[in-house]
Amino acid sequence: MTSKNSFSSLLRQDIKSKLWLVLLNTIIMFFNFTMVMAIQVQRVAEYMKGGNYTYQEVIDILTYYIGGENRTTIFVTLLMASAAAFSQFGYLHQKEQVDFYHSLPIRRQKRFLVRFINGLFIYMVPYLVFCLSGLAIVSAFGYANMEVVTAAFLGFFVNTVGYVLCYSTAILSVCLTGNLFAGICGICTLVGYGYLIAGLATVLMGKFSMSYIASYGKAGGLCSVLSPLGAYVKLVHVVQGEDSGNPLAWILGCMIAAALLIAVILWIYLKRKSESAGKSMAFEKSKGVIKTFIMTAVVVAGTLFFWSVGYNETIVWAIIGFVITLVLSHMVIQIVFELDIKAIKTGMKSAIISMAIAMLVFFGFDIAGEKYDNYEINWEQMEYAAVNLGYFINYSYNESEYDVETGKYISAEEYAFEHMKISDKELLRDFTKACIESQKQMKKFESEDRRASTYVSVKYALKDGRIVYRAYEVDYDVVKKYVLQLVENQEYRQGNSRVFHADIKDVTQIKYYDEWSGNVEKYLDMSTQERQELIEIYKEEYSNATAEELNTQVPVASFVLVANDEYKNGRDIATAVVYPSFVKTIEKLEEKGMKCISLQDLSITELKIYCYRLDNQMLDETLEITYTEAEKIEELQKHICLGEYGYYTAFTCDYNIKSDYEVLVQLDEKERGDSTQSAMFIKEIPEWVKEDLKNKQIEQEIEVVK
Amino acid sequence: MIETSEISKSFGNIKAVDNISLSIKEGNVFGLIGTNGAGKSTFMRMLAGILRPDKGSVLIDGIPVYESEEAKRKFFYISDEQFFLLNATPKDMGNFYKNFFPEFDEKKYMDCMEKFSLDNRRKINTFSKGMKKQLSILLGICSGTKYIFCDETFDGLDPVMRQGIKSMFAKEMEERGLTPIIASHNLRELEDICDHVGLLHKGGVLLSKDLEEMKCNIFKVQCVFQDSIMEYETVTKLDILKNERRGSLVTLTIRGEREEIMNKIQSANPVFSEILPLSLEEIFISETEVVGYDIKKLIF
Repeated sequence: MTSKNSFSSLLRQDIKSKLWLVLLNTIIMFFNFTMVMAIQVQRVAEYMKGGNYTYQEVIDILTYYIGGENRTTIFVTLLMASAAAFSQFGYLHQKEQVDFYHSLPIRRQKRFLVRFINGLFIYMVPYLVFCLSGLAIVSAFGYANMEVVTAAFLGFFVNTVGYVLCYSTAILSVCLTGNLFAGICGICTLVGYGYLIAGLATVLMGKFSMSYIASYGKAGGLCSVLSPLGAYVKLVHVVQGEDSGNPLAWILGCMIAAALLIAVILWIYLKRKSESAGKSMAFEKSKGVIKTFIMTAVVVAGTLFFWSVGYNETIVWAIIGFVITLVLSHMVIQIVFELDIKAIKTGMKSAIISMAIAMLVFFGFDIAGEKYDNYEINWEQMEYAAVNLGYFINYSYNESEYDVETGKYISAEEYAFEHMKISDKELLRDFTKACIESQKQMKKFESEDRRASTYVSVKYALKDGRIVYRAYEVDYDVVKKYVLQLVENQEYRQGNSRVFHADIKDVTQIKYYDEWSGNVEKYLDMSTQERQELIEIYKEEYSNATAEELNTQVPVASFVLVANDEYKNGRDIATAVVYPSFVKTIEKLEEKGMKCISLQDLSITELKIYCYRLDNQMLDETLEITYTEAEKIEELQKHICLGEYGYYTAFTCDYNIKSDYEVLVQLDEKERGDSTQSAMFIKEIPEWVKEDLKNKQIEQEIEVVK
Repeated sequence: MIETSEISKSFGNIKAVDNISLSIKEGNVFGLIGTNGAGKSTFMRMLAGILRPDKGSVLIDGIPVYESEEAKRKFFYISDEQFFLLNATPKDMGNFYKNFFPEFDEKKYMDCMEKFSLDNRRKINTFSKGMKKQLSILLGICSGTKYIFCDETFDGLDPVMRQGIKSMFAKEMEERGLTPIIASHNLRELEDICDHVGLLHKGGVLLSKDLEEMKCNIFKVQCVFQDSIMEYETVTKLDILKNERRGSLVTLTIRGEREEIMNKIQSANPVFSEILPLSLEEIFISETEVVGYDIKKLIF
């Protein structure tokens, strides 16, 4: 007897009953590639004609839409993978279909292969067809160069690998479950679990460790290892060069992961009993394991949620959250598993195991957090380090500025970690030890009582290629002790100023904010040559300035380097702070009409200090003291600085002092048209002023009593 | 021949099939009866290789059926809940089965469709329940397999249709030795079709016998004896399955050879004696009561 069920005829037969899915994918891919490319290519061609885009910019835009990094394509891939998995293997959930297909003379392996391969074709064929049609449109407009074509095919390859990962995961969910609802829940769990674990690990590290920096922490990266979607997104980013990692290694890794996943689902498919159709879970024994995994994560998440939203974040709220989520998750999972409300009485063993694991997780992170905070690198292994002194040294520098290279706004911390390379081990070791010690002391206080603290963050690069990140909440005095030493270090100084790494060719304009006429944005009228000269002079003076000068002088001006982004919009890329000792820079700026006035040189007739907080106590009523005596004004004048400049110097920008005090000065008529200048900051409060404020407070209290 | 050897199947704590050993000979119509939950469908699904028995084996012509393309090519299984491909027409289904059953007779299928007035191009999802059953049976017959498994397929078919199917089965049996295995919870549905009947109850086989053999071995005799002594003496000589009395009229259900039974009764010189025809129901009642079951509760 000759078998007619050849593989190709089985494929054809199977695809015939999935035409609806083929049609759906065809429509989606048509819009995603053909339509989008038609719209975009016409739009960018018009823009290019108008001179708004260069040829390369047009290519970059088209590459994005036809290549792998297109977010819509990633979303479509995930959606299609789930739909295809249900379409190809959803029959396992229906008894009549199971009876029908499993009674046919075809082995399960062959049936699996037929359905699996058709699930791939359903995605790949429309993708390729409409991607090629998109390329044809691009070609018709004359933009289909090698870069665009490569991006299209690379995108197809990467997205296919991602599709196989997601499709296999969705099939795994279908094979493990017995009905549609459980199958969807399964996909959400398998795809989202990695993200949940990564999120929980990040939150737990943040909760139990003061020195963990979430944005640089490894916990967040767990999702690219534990979630198929995470791995897929990471793969796309790595291949496009948007994320660190070896593209070949990631492609290979994802392909191996996909192959393993296929082997696992085939094994499960063969092991799956036909009678599982209609039940929630196909494998009785898997229930406990799956429940334990889900419940543990949910209980930890629930506990953290209650802990954080509960009043004062007390441990009582954590316990309440633990109990509530434990009970609720057990009930919900049991009902979903058994489709019977009475089932909540069963499955206690896995609930108890989950409870124990969740408790272990908390205890484990508590111990790990302590170790993490006290960790010191092997100093012999250190290659270099970068330090960000946060609000203490430079409030303004913590604001994000545009990075021409990446096209993104990056923070001062990111900038320092990217460009700063301090190699002075002795200084760093002392600084680190002082930070760890100070943080230990800080832990003894509640966060409310840690007003005299600031955050500093450090990146250590080790010789073996490892990178270690730490953040410390430390006492001001500790930082103060090391600021001079750090600023003295040219590697620190240059790594902290964006001016040093700004490419002069990128700088199109230089602007400043005129503090003397209402903070108005003004541009210096300079040629490219002049801009270059100013930047060079500034860099020289900044490098030659002593740490003492930089830390104690009150700035007299600041200017901003502006560069164009890809859309020709001006973006601030670096702020240069000008100190009184930067004579050549001041001269150059004043030549162009910019005022660089030191407050110390002004004639002040009256100075008012408003105090909102005294001796760490918030005041019910603001204290106000007015000084008109010349000696007192002269003394105070040493400590005040003007508006924005108040942010720029180490000792003038004590964040707490800024929020506790405000200064108003009355200038001599000759100095200014406007007699009063507000928004001044005081960098240090002399003891005699504090005494005056206390006396004033007593006076006010007596008044109230009277 | 289909042989099951001590097959058992449990679903959780429920034992659906318990240690069943059966032999189904070729060329006969095998009827499998039992109440709902007796294990008929589970048994049939194991025969069809859909379910793997927890214990024991199912052999079709000596080949273990589970995961065997060769064994599965020998039968066509019609489930109690028929499934047809999405939006398929009878023609599509015929083409589908052609891929799996090399002996599928397309011409015969077309002829049958016409004979049973089923529209070949109409979507099956617009068919009535009965029409879907007819279609399944026709597909099964035309697939050219040696065996056809029908799970509750005949229940609810109208008499004309049943007769039509019955004659088709007879023709196929005669022409190519088709062996239909029909499961039903209704004994009356099987009475005029089956040659051999197996009775399932609580997952086990209560009895499995040829109908003819059963009919030739059990008789119902109505008689009036001259006195109670003669009656007692006669009754003790016979293998009585059931003894009912209405006045002086005694109705006996007796196992044994017809001639031997009548000789023994005649030797008591009864006032009146007559052999009455036994229905399949009555045979089953008698047979199962012997083994301690009240079949009326089980089947009717």
